[in-house]
Amino acid sequence: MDSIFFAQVAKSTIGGVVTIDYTILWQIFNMFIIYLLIRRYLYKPLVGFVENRKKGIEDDLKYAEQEKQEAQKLKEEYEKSIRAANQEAREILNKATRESEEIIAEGKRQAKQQAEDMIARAQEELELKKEKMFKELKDEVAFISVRIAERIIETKIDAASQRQLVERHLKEVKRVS
Amino acid sequence: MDVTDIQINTYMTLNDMPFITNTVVITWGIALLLFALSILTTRRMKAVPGTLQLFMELIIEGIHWLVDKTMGSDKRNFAPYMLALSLYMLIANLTGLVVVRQPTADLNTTFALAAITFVMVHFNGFRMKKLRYIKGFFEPLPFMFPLNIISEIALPISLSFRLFGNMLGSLIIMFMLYHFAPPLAPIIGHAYFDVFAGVIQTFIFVMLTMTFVSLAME
Repeated sequence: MDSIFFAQVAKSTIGGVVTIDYTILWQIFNMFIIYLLIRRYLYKPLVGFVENRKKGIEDDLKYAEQEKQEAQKLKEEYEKSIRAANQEAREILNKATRESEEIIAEGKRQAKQQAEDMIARAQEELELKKEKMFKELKDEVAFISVRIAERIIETKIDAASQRQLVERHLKEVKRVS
Repeated sequence: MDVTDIQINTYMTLNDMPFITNTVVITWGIALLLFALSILTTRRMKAVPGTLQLFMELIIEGIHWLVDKTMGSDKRNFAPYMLALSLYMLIANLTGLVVVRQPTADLNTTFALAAITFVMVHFNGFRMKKLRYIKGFFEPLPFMFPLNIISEIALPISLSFRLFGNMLGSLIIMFMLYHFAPPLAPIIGHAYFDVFAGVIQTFIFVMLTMTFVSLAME
């Protein structure tokens, strides 16, 4: 039974399988058709789609990178302007402080000057008054001394010699003062 | 199952020679299946791919990777044919699982595929190198020409008989397993002879085709 079966298998294999006939043409044609179908309906659309997606993702990434760089630049600019503003504010403050100090110093200086002027004027005035007083005193002294002398030597001296005496005295007084 | 199932059924003859056999009809079926699969995949493609689209993208990426590795990325234009060849051969080798006679267990199919590879090899070799390609047959010494020719003819024969022998062998062994072994035993046979051998043979055939074509072009 088994040997008959093997014989049948062998016979059908050898006799009917290892042959080449017209169907090889069919198979070449079929393979060509399958190739065209796959290329037209599977390969091209799918590869195109994948490429597009890839390109889209790449573009998105590039765009994001660009945006990031721009944001960074903006941030730097803002920081720079803030730093500049800070600097300016500090400068303004410094200037104001300096100016106020100057104003105070100027005021102090002016006040001092004024006071000194006043003192000088007062001294000057004092000096003038002193001089005037001395002059008056001198006159008075001369007068009084003449009167005293008059009393002392009343009758002994005549008018001319009297005048001479007074003049001498006066000169002395002037030298002293 | 009958012993005659090992044989190819002829549906139509021409000049007493088989013209339309079950191999041809099954190939048409596979072509239809691939067409439907293509339409289903590319009908509604989404940026976030669905299962089928993702699977197909993976396959295409794999083919691109293979082509880049074995042929060079400048020969990407061979990728569609390699994709078609591997898809067709994979499905053809796996039809044994649904108790359909594999088209690749028919010498006409495998020889047709090997003939296409043969034509591709020599067409592209001549296209790239012109007369230098023909001169290559007389190298390293002129009298080696007949040997070179024989080696070139051996290429499609070895390619086609390797695949054909593997698939016919698995067909016969599976038939005998069904005949003699207990009911669940053929599962192991299917796993090895149909799935494992089928996938490996597909890979070998496609790899060899790519290697031969790129060798002829260099």
